[in-house]
Amino acid sequence: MSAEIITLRERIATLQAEAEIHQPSLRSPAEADEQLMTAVARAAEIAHRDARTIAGQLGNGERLRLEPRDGEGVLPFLVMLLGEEAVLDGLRQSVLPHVPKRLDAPARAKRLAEIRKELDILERAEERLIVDSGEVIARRADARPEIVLEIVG
Amino acid sequence: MKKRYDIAKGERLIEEAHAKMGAASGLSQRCTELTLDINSQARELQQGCTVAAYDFAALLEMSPEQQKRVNFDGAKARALVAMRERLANLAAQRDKSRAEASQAYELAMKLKTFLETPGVR
Repeated sequence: MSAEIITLRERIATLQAEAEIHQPSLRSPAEADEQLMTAVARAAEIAHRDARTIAGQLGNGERLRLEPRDGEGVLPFLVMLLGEEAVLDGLRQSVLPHVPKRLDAPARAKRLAEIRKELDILERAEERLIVDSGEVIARRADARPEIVLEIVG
Repeated sequence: MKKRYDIAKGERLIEEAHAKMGAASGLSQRCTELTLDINSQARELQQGCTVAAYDFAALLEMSPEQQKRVNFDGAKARALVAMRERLANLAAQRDKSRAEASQAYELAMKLKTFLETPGVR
């Protein structure tokens, strides 16, 4: 295999790895923090609502029920018991150190577009070299069909 | 403008991947057969020998007279050593072939799906 193909493949692998980091579904530390704040604020709303229900139950001498409702999880109860700030601080301390440093959404989308553009160029060049070499060169298992078949050979 | 794809190339690559899978499977079969043959010959060699015949290298160092005294068949043992070497080479070829076939097959499956996409052909 030519040195040129090896170099191209190294660059392709590097860009593919970088693209993984910039996937739209992943969050930057700032975005993760925002999500935590939203979740805790929502939990606080539920906790406030439930506090009134609980007060009502106690006032009527009913048995206290503290089962989380579907989709609400345990967070509202934690907020009720510990307070919004303590829960948010705890979540931040346990979650944020594990969120890899990545760009925020707009910058991520821009970088992802640049990577895709460069990958298109590199993968086409790679396939052209394979076809023109006249040798049997194994294609990458993750080669893109549309590029392999776009280059006539 | 509609993009044109080299359909024949795609079909050829899919066929080649299948051929590679077949070759890898053939090598695997040969390895299994050779292993069975080696095991059977090793058992035969051990049966007559009055000392443990696992370490052929040490037994092969003995003089023909010493080998005779412990009922060790030196010629058969040498053939067996050669067979083991052949097996090691064959197994290396099999592993390489398997890796290449699996890579080609993975791409072939993607090519097949792509070729079945409406509007590609």
